[in-house]
Amino acid sequence: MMYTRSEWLAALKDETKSLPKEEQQRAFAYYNEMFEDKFEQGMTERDIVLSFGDPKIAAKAIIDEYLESAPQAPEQKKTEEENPYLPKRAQNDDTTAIALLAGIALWPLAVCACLVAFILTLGALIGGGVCIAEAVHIGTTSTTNVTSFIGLGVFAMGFGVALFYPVSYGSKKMFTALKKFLREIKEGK
Amino acid sequence: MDIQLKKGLLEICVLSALKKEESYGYKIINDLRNVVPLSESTLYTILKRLESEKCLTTFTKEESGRLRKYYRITQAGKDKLQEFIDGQEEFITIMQYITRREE
Repeated sequence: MMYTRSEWLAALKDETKSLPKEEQQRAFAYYNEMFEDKFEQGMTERDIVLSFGDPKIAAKAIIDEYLESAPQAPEQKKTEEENPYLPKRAQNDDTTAIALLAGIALWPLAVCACLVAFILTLGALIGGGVCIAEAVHIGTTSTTNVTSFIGLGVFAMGFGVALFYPVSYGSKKMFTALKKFLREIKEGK
Repeated sequence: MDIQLKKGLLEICVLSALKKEESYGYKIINDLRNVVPLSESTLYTILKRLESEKCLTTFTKEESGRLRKYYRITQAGKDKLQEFIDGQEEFITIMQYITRREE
């Protein structure tokens, strides 16, 4: 869209209407003066408006800057609870505390579960090995029960092997997370 | 260039232009044209930030039958500029380190 000077300035005014009057006026005056200066230097109205670009984009830069610097602006000072410019932590203290409590309660459970799974895996592997060794031992003296011992041993070892990777992967992940959690508590996050 | 880094450098450029003499929007853009092309909206945000940081003050002067807004560097602005100049060796060292790594 092609603007004239007044159209461009009117569009800027319209796009910055969410700002306080004073801020809106300040931006308007800035561009108005810039226009005058460029015009005095011999630029045409058309070229000046083109050099300003889209008034929507200019307005966005002005609004973004205003929002960024708003916490310092006295007219924007609100009470702590409702100030959207405050860092998130200040507002999320409650949620953080709940997460922390839940974490403190859950971590021992997670550690216990890991230990149990680990013992189970180790038990299955060793138990299976013992069963097979026993079967070989029985086989040399008597053939009774050899098949059932071998079967039991293979089953137990298979169970142990199947558990080994998921359990070791899970515990590794859990301990990494636990370390991170403890570090965060230490740093008071 | 990284937008935050560029914003910081542009602030220094504007302060540097103002250290020479008090100036107005159009003139600042013109003076810096050969160093770094500035859009009107970029300069607007820089000037506003520098003003809120008390690095510059403004006043109006009547010229060619109209009021023109002028910007003047303050002591805080001069300090900020000097701080950057004092840190230039560190900046250059960092740049050299980065570009050497890129080769």
